[in-house]
Amino acid sequence: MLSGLISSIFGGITYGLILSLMAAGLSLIYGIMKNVNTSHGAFYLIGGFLAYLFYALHLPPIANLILVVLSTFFIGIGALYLVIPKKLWVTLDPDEQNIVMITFLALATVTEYIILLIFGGASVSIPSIFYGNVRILGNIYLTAQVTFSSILSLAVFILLYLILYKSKFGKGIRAYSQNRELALAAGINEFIIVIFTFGIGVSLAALSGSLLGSIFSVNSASGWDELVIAFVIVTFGGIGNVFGSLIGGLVYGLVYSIVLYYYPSYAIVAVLLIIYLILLIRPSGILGKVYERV
Amino acid sequence: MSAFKKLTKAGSRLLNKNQDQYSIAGILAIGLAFLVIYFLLPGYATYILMSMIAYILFAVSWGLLYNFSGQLSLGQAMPFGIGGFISAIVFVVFHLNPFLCTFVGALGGAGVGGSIGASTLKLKPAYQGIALLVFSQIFYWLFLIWYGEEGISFGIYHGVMIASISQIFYFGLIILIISLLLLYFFETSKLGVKFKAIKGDPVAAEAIGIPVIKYKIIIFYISSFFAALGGAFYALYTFHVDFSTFLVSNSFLSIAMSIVGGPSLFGTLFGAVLLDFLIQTLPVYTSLAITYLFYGIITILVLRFAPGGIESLIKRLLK
Amino acid sequence: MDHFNIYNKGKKFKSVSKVLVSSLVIIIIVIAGTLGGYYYYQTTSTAHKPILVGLEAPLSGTYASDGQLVVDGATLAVNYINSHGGVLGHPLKLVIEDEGSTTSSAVSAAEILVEQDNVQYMIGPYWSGDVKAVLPLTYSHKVVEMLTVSSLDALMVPPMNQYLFRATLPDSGYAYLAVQWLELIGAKNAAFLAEDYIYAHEVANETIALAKQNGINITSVSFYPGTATDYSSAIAQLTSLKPDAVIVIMEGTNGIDFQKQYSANPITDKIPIFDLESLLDAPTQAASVDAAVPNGMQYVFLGEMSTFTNQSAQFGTELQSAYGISFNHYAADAYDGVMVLAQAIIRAGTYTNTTQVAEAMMQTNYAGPGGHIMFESNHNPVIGSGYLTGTIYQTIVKNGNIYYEIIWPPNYANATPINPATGQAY
Repeated sequence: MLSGLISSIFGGITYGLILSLMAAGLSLIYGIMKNVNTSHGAFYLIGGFLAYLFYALHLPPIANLILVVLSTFFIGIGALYLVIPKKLWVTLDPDEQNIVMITFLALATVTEYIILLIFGGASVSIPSIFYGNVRILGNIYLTAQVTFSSILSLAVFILLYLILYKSKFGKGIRAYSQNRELALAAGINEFIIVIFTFGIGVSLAALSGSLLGSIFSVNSASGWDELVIAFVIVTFGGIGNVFGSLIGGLVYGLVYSIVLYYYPSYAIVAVLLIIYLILLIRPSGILGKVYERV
Repeated sequence: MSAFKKLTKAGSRLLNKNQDQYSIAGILAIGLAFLVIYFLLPGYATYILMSMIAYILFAVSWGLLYNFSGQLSLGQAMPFGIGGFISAIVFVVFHLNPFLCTFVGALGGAGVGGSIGASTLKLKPAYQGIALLVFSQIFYWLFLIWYGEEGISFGIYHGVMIASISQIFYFGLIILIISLLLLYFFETSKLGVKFKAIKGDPVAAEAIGIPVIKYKIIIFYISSFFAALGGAFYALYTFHVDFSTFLVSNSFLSIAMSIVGGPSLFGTLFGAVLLDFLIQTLPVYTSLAITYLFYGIITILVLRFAPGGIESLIKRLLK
Repeated sequence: MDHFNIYNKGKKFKSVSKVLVSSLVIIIIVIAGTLGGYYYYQTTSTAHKPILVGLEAPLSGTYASDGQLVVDGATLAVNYINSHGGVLGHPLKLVIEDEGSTTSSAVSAAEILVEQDNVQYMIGPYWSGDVKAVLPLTYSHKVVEMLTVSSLDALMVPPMNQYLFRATLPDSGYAYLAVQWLELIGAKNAAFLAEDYIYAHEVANETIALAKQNGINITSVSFYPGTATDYSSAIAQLTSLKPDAVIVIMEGTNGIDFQKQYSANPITDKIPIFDLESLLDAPTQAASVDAAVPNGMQYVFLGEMSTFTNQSAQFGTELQSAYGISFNHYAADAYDGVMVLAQAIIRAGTYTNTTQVAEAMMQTNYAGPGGHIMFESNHNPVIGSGYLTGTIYQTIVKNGNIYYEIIWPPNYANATPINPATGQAY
């Protein structure tokens, strides 16, 4: 029985790790736009279906993954440009923020139904890049694809760290999200920062979507659960705090898999309730004040 | 002054406002239109009308919350669905009069929705919207676990329909007209003006002595009541309720209807009638997916180019 | 002063006209719209002569392809009947509505069929939950309803089953099939996993009871939400439990997700698994499992709801030439359902008195491509050898291709079951 629990936990941590990528994207976008991207789930969906489309077009798996990320980057920028008027991109006025959130929500709905029209309602499963199993200990096995996805997620986080802390561009993002006026005064190009960050943010969601689509499956209704889970993770880790999402993802995976093992039906409800309580008691997140905000 | 005199004085004072006469006439005219169609086209058209009743209440409840107190709910399906489930459960367990069950559902939904909403008051707008979305998801999963994908069906009791469609239609029409009148009087009353002040500038409102927190809580309860009433009525005329009423896309319907129509009561009403009509009839010509796609795109276009809704476009035309 | 009054008057009229116009516009839209919709229905609804048979099946969403199979089977039956004189001199006409993917859309579709098109006969709905939701409508309008996919036994209870009949394997038949499989492979205990549907609970209970009567123990029963994708905890529990056999009811994508994870685990991959109701009987879905996990479909057992008869092969050829699809139980059962309905109407001698048609239905004794149908007193079809039994398949993967071998019932079997643990026959 214990091996069953441990197996469940390994699976859960991987799942949480991959979703923390999506959460990191949400966090990044919030740090810059000061607003929640309620269409983030739609980009997860796009990632999954683009991966499926490129697979149907017989693209090699690694190229598939890279192309999904790149395409979503540009799709995201295009969507932002088309759908939200520029003056609303970064605003602290609650009314304007509401309008942006509603518009993003409408965008997500539109995306869901476009996918439904093109691909139908059936779930699609994307073939793995790696086949076979990896033995962890004793009876516990992880599939190669799951192992690969975890390693890739960690690698992407390292990449994110390098970009955010070691590059000029990253410095610009951090400066802008901490103090907009000061950053503008220092000559930072606001347009580039906002556009690129949004693009990177939604690409991370798409990466999650394509990875999880190969481990499980995606269908047109997929984005919403993942949006809520990403928000859950972001709230654990502190909104605006990219690496808090990593910790948040691990914690989420751990908690979720333990509850899943004992009470399969109630797992998601339990996690959602916890998140609701956290939102009420400490909206800045468990880790929000510990880490430096990105 | 005797109570009767007080009442008539208040009534005539209310009716003296010119705007009121025509607005009330407008609301009654809509009721009349519904009746006319009901008699002209018996059969399926009645179902379309009943769907409109449910969704008008739903959309208007969201509009009240958003336009009157500036609070964004991304989970308005929560009181809607709770109203449906409570009315269904009460009927199945206690076998009370189905119309009474609808009211019980509305009150129950008001209680649940109001308290949950009240708990999110201190959050920033973005968090508040998401917190309510999270909670509607919680109910989505809970009711899926408790009642399965099949939900609760309750149309027949001891071999007989619990109520006839015409009874249900008249009931729905009555509650619609009364609700619209109540909401209209509320919005144009002194109390309503105070609420509007909160939306405009909560800090200033607090400064002049309006208890902002208390009022925001009240609005949540009122908004949840009407959403739950809509949800309970929807469950009543379909004789069914299941977890899918808590879907995000259902919450979004109330938002879209209010945004597309416009912020005023009439605007939201217009948006609800228009969009619900589209959702009921477009799938016949095209498909359900294209219909939802269409209304999603309309919402984006309206938000981008005419944030005041179709109402603002009409106003511009009339100028 | 005067100026002020005029200004006010102007304002008053402006506000009057604004409100009035808005209300008028609303009224016009409502009236025009419903009139338009009504006339559309009128022009597309049929004249008096044909007998209308409503059909509700999912034509959008995940199960659209299966719903289409139901439509295809029913259409073949209608065409056959109409080319052989129709029913009491009248042609049959199918009126098809999309059940959609929610119960609300199912109810709306039924409302259109019953209230708008005034059908007195109906095939479907597909999902048992939708049948339950739609029953108040059809029962109060005395619509004779023929179920060709829904299997819930709990529906067949008086008085609501007065006009309700079933021409497909019911849940008690699923249990019967599952126990046949357990005996075929010599299992002494089994684990039961299913999605959290009412009918899955019913099948579980009936299987447990029937298995016990045959000395087989169902040692664990678990249910998962229909929206689940992660079965790692389920798989983990199975690796500890190590039952002789695993019975699974996972429809749609859950079947695919589960099978992928099940075959990926080297321990559970060796435990024989029986998919009682799953999309894996569709070759494309099975292929996607196999693409994700090589040999993921090797030695998997499938429970099919149709029962072969000497008409099945011929029906398969007709399906192939008409629609390019191979024999499947959705089409076969829909075909049988329409035929049984037509025969009952002819037997009753009337198509307007549905109560008499329902009574005549009880004398059904019909053999078609999906099985031999007679009705029990609760309007379920008779189960057992010679009537409806279902069929058991096993999938074999050879050189990347998936082959479906029939291993039960004996008179239609073309292969012997293979033990997944050893790769040898039992």
